[in-house]
Amino acid sequence: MADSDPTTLPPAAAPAVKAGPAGDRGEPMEPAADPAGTAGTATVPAVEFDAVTKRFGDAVVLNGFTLSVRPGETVTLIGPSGSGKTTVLRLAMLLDRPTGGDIRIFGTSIVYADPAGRRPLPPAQARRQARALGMVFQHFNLFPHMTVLDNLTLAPRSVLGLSKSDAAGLAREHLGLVGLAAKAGAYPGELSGGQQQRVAIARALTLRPRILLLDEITSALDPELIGEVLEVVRTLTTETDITTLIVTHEMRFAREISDRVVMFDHGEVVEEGPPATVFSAPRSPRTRAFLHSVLDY
Amino acid sequence: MSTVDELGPYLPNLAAGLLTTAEIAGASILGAAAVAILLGTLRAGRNTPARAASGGAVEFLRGTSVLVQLFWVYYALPSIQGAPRLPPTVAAVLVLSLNGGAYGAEIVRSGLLAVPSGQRDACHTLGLPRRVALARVILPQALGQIVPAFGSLAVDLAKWTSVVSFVSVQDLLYWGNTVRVQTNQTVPVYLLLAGCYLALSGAVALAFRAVEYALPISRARRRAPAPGRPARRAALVRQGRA
Amino acid sequence: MSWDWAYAWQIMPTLLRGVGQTFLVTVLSGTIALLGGLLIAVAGWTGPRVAQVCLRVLVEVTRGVPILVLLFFAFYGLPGAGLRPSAFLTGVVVLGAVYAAYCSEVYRGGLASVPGTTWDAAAALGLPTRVTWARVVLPTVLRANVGALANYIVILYKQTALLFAIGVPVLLTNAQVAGYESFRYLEPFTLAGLLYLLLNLPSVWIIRRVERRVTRGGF
Repeated sequence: MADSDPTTLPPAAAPAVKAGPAGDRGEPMEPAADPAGTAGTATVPAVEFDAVTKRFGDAVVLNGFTLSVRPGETVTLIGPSGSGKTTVLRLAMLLDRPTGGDIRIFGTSIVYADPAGRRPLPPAQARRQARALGMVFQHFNLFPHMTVLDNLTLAPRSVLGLSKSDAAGLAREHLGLVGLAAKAGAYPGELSGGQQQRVAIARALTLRPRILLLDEITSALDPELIGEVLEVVRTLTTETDITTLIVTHEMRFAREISDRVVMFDHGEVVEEGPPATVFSAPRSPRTRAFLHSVLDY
Repeated sequence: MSTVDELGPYLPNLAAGLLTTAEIAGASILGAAAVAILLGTLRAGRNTPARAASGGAVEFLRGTSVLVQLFWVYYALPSIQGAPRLPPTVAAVLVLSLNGGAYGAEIVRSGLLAVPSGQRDACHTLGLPRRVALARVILPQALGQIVPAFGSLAVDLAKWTSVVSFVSVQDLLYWGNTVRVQTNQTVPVYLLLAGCYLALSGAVALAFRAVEYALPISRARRRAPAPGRPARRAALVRQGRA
Repeated sequence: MSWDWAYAWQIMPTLLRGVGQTFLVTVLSGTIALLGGLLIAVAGWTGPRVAQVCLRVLVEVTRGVPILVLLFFAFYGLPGAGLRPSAFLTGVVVLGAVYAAYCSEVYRGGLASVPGTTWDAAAALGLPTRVTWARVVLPTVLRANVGALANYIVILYKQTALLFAIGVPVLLTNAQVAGYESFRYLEPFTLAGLLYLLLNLPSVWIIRRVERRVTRGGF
């Protein structure tokens, strides 16, 4: 299984701001307080959702959702289908605009142009803010008509302006990190689902995002292929200081790598806390019910 | 005199007519492609007034037959003050391009909309500028559906060129009619004409088949294994589990 | 030269007569196309292999040869065989035959899309062939393809202008004659174009209405 053995990712240049235990916050829906241990300076949250509401017609998908993610933190959203988890990621990525509330990336709003929240941010500016984010999708969304290498070099060349050879070098480096250097010349259609998803992760990383959004990235994979993808994510979260927001059904994995778990239902946060707390001693009955219904827990 | 002897002297004319028809067909197909891409991308775009305007143009152009439009451009247009008097060949290619382009716009639009929305999401998350996303990601995939359908339309365009004989363009049909009048060999002449048009249609169809083969998306599809069980088994074998 | 309203008014009657002929041709040819196409498709589906091959060849030829060539072929060639149909009859039959070929392709696709389970169910119920076709299969095929078939009828309506080539007095012919006689082409051709366009617009709307009503059965 040589090709599915991802090598370790290079250590980050700056020391990782690893969040300690989130503290014993008893109430859900409070923004995370600074953990005890960091020097007195307040860290700007990497992603901050501030009373975000999202309506599709009459359906309310998000209802006053509030969450603050620290830089370098790995936060996992769990909950029943249709609870709005994917919508959270899509809003952060600006694939959609919230109906109400604000979203801030490293302190700067991607929804409003002014602090009072009256003028909407022009799309071009919002896109520039969102450059700090990368996203990996459930269905990979690789470009089928391009080789793996071209999939990875397109953005560096057209967005970062890299030359063809520089972009190719960058691409091969990232392919190596996910263990697929040998597949640079293949087309996505020739790869297994797990390989395609690893390519998708590498593609998102070529632009060096500071925040990575993972939207049910193993839900469309055959069971035997899930492991290789999770391995890449594990290495990513433990060895770099990238902030990660994950939506997943893989409970064991969520427990292993998350700094914080957020239980979601009907568009609102039901409970949040460190994985040990949420999985072993959930406070809310809804969380308990959900965890019991998830068979692999 | 046998048929061959009767028709013999006219073969060069018929050949010239065939060449003219082929040239007009070629020019019209290219023109129609350009018009189709322009109108089709507007129709599939996000700009609502542009969508409506191009929709109106498409309905207007598809609302009357090529012959009616050609007659109008060739006979009626020059009557208007200041309007150009187009030479018949130019008028013919113009009308065929616009008409073919209107039908082609629907093909382009369907092809663009058929590309999965996830592709646009991926382009957005990578921060690709709109033009790059359209040109490098969306359009190449859309072409997989557009090219075969446009090939069908192109074959029709090759047949429509026959109307230009009515505005004194010396195409294949024009010469066919002339030869029939001169020699009275009705059936052989029209059989010959039918054969030539069939050959031309076939050539156009073949050309588009070739274009389809050369598309990046076709090349990628050829390299992928057939979906379903065999691919799954292959994946398992690769991982040493089967 | 500018627009002459008096002249436009003067030629309207003849143009409207042309509209009437256009309508008549459309209805007659359309009927031939829809029924003929169905016969071709069914014959190809149920008949012997030889018939299938012959019919496919016929269909390919009518689709690959311009309608004008077929019109001239019929109009000038038939007298040689002793037949002298009128231009009107020739035009209606040729147009009908060409679009019967196109419609047969639509029917063929529709027949191929009837799930095997439908055939099986009819056989299991012991339905005689004629009933299976008339009450089960054909209604399904027709309902599913109303849009495509109606689309071809609309195209046929526009192609009636080609009958000008053999002198049938359709709208375009009358416009051309009026222009030729008066040397004023602007009014006849503009009015003719507008009339063709105006008659075309409601047809799109009607097709959509018919489609919706016919597919309400749940497709």
